[in-house]
Amino acid sequence: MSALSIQGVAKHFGNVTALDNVSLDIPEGTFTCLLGPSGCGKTTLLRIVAGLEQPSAGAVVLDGTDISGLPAHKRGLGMVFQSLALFPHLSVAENIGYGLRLQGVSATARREKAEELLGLVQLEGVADRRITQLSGGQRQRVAIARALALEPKLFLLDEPLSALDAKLREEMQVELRELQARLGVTTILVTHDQREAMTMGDLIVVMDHGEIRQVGAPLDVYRAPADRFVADFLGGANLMQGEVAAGNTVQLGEACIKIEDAIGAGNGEAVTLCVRAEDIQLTSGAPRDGNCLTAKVSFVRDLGHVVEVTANCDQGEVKVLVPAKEREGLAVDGEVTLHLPADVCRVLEK
Amino acid sequence: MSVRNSTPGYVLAFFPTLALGVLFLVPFGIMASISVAHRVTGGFYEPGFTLASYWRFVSPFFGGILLNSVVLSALAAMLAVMIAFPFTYLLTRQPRRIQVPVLVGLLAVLSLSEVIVGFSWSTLLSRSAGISNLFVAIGLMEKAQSWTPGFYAVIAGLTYVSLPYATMVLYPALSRLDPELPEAARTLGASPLRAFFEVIVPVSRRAIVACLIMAFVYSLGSYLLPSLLGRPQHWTITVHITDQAIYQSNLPFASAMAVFLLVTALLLVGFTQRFLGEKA
Repeated sequence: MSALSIQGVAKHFGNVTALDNVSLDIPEGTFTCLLGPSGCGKTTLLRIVAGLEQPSAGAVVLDGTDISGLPAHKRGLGMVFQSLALFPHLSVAENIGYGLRLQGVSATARREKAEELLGLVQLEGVADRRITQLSGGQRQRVAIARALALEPKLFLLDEPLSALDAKLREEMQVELRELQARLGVTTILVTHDQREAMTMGDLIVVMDHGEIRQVGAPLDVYRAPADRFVADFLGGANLMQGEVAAGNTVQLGEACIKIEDAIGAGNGEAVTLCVRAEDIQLTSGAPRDGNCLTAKVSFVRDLGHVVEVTANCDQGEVKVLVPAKEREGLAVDGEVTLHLPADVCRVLEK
Repeated sequence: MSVRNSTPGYVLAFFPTLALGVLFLVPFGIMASISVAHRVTGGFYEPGFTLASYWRFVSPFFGGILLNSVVLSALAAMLAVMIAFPFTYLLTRQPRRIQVPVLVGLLAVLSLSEVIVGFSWSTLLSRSAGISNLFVAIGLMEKAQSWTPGFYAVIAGLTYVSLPYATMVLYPALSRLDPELPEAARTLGASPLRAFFEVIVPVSRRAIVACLIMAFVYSLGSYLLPSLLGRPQHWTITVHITDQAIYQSNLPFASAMAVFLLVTALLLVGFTQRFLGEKA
């Protein structure tokens, strides 16, 4: 249970900058998700924390101690790798007990600990199996148990669920989150899946091009993205170009959209209006606040519980999620009126 | 019901069977038949069936030759793998632009004939022009020494020619090795050296055994190096086969030794395969 502080960390591979002056404070006992597209530097950051990669600049401070110079095998951190990296020449129990054996723990105590950890990850009765005899989900659990065997100060996970099928992945996300909450271990997970980050994280760190774009609680980041990149990456928002007009409104071509929050930018400045697909409503008549756009339906996708409508307006393509019961009357090439309620519209200056 | 229009299995098996028959079974049959022929002293041989040549194996002299061949080849194979394994592992961890020239260089070494390798080593280990002069010059030795012909000269030569092959056999396995395996060991508290011996070596044991067999069989079949770098007591069975066949004109005995060598090599390969198959 430890607090981690990443201070001005940079990493260059030749001419390529993988991380550019990244600073981040992770409070004790939290579950933090490093989220971003591939090549954004999230894995490099995790590897620097683990000591598997040396930063070009900056420091990694754990519980007030600078551990930047410490080699990986002296950091006492538990890590689950993307490939899981289970040792194929050892049994399940030997895999879990490997770190304990290095510490000189006796064979019986190792066995006990392995059984206990297998219980914790709900995988009893496989201690003597070979790794090759396990399914993907079981290997996953063994890798988690092995990383927790030494009661690490930090629990690091590098896209550990990416090899699992969708259903099992969602189950493991919940289970992993519950396990972390029960143990209270400070955890950092790297993922490119925003659903995974939203499900598990106390804190989401959105990264792109070696920089941190936004840090915050999942819903805060989702509701109030800091910029276009975050808005688009986290849940795919509708982004429309416009400019600030009088009376706290944004001019989108002909339409004038009122915004509830105060707009920081001055009149006439170019801004981006960000509205989530599920926040837009389809109306027949003109809404009272006048926040509406006319558009032409180009595609209707039935997702079962909701209907995703793609419509084209002057500002480009807009996606709208409507409840299944409003499906009636929606047809390709039909005209619709999109209502953008003032309280769900965000103005992004970048 | 599905319509089968694929080529029948026996057609596909035809070419390998033919190749194996023409290139291996027929020559082996000829050799085996000569090995049981009657020897005509001072002449050639006449067809017949006698196990006289095989009976000659049951002698301390032949036992000594066999033991010498096996010990030499085994030592050379082990040395080659011990050098090639860490070398190849470190090579596979390098960027491609370093790996490719090194591999090309190794392939170039393969193109050297054993004759050149043998004479180079005999010069290198000689008293007049050898490496011991260098040791004398830097004060490590009192006076220059000749290390060839001798047991260790043969070992050095066999190890040298086996090295590129050993690297080629290990390279594919080691370059496929998951780089996260040693990293996982490190996060669990293993030093890099410990991770190497406790994870990388055991995980690669199949490749290591395959490489040992290959280097062993290769050394066992080497003819030139033992005859160039060794004294007659260091001659391997291959040198004796040549000696019997060409200089003593005893083709039946030479053939019997060749059959024996082949069977021994096959048994060794089969045994290790079997042992490996059970273990993994």
